[in-house]
Amino acid sequence: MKITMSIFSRHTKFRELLSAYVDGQVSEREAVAMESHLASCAACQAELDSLRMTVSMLRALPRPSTARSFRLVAPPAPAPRMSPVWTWSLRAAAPAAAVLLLALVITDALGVGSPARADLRVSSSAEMTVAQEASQQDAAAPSGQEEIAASSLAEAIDAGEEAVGGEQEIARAMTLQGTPEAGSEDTEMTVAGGLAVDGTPEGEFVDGAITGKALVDDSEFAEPGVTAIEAGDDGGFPYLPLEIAAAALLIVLVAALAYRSGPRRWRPR
Amino acid sequence: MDFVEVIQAYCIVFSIPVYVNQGNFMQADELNLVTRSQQGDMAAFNLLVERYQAQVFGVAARILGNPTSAEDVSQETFVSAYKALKSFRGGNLRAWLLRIASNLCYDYLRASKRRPEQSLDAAMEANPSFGPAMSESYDPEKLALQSELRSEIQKALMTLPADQRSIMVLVDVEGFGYDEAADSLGVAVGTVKSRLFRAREKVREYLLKKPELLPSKFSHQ
Repeated sequence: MKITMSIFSRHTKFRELLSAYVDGQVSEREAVAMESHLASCAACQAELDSLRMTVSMLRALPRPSTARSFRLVAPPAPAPRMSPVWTWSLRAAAPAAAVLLLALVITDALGVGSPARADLRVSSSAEMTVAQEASQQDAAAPSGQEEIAASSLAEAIDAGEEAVGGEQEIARAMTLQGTPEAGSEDTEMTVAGGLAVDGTPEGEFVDGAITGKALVDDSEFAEPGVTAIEAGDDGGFPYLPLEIAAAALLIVLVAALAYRSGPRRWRPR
Repeated sequence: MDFVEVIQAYCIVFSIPVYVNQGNFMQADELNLVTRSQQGDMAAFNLLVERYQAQVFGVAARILGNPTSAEDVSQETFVSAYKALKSFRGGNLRAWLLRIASNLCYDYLRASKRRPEQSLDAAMEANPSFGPAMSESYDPEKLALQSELRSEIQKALMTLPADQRSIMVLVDVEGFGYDEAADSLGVAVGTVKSRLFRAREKVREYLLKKPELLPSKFSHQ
């Protein structure tokens, strides 16, 4: 069995060398071994003859010709090429713009740099209802200035709601500080939007931090379930314009890179 | 004229091969044409086109099996060569041009995504402009037999994968050596040997199906 396999593998090896042997592309040692094998193997000898015939038929094929000339009439327009400096600058700037945009979006979402906005996010009317109930319980004793924690509702009904009456309109979140009783000197109102308060001290618009309790008549709410505080001019970091600028820059850089690349063409070395 | 130009002029006059680089020799006149072409001399480049266009077309026609497509590829070969001439660092210009041509043929075959038309020899018979060189015997029967055999050989070529076909065309049809074929196709010499062996086996097996066209010695048991 071993001897048979050995003979078979040697025979296969010689067969594989036949093609190179026809072209004289074997080493001297291989050529000697081949000639020795051919002298004793009729099958390989016959295969060598048919291989030589195949090659000679291929060599005899006439070369197709054409009357057309391939001379160039005019110099082909050179492909526009960007200098390597510009190419590498674009390749570095595009990912940097993408990272910048991502960072702006993330920090904007986390409210970094805009603590007021982060404090006054309102998620649902249920929370407002809970806050309203809680504030009603505390309504008896106005205790002066109070501050609403960052996660508290924008509006809370104070006991001094009576003084405010039903004519309040709240277009935006507002807070009341202290006792909203009419005439109270401690009453302080900060209003973000339109508010009409009847019989109360004039509201004082406070730029920046909003303190105190928000006074809300939920019946006056146009959209009770809606977040009472909307993103707006809270005086924080201007994320939106920067995000727009970063997105625009990224689009321009990607377009420039795509234009530079163009359709892929084979270039000879 | 500086010293280099004097030497080049001397070599051109006496057609002495000029050592370029990497051990490859170039005829001095060809070196001069390449240099002038690289400097934008279109007339010099067209002289090179005239020198190699027949071979480029012949190779493209055998690889694609379609003379019309071969004309397009040949034209594009020389356009691409002119644009890329500044990157040619000397050596075998013919191999460089055929490398461009074979790669364009591969691109064409991939783009068409179909088996190439096996109509080269039929086109050559029908259209004198694609006809072979007039070196045939004038025996009509012999001519017909030869024509049919050539057609079958071309069909056999078209059954090969593109990489084996291009090697067979360069080595067996055009008579390239293994080194030049390897250079033209950008592969190793060992790859040329193995692909050529497989290509010859397949063509031989294909032709054995038409024994009436083959010489009696061709088939073996």
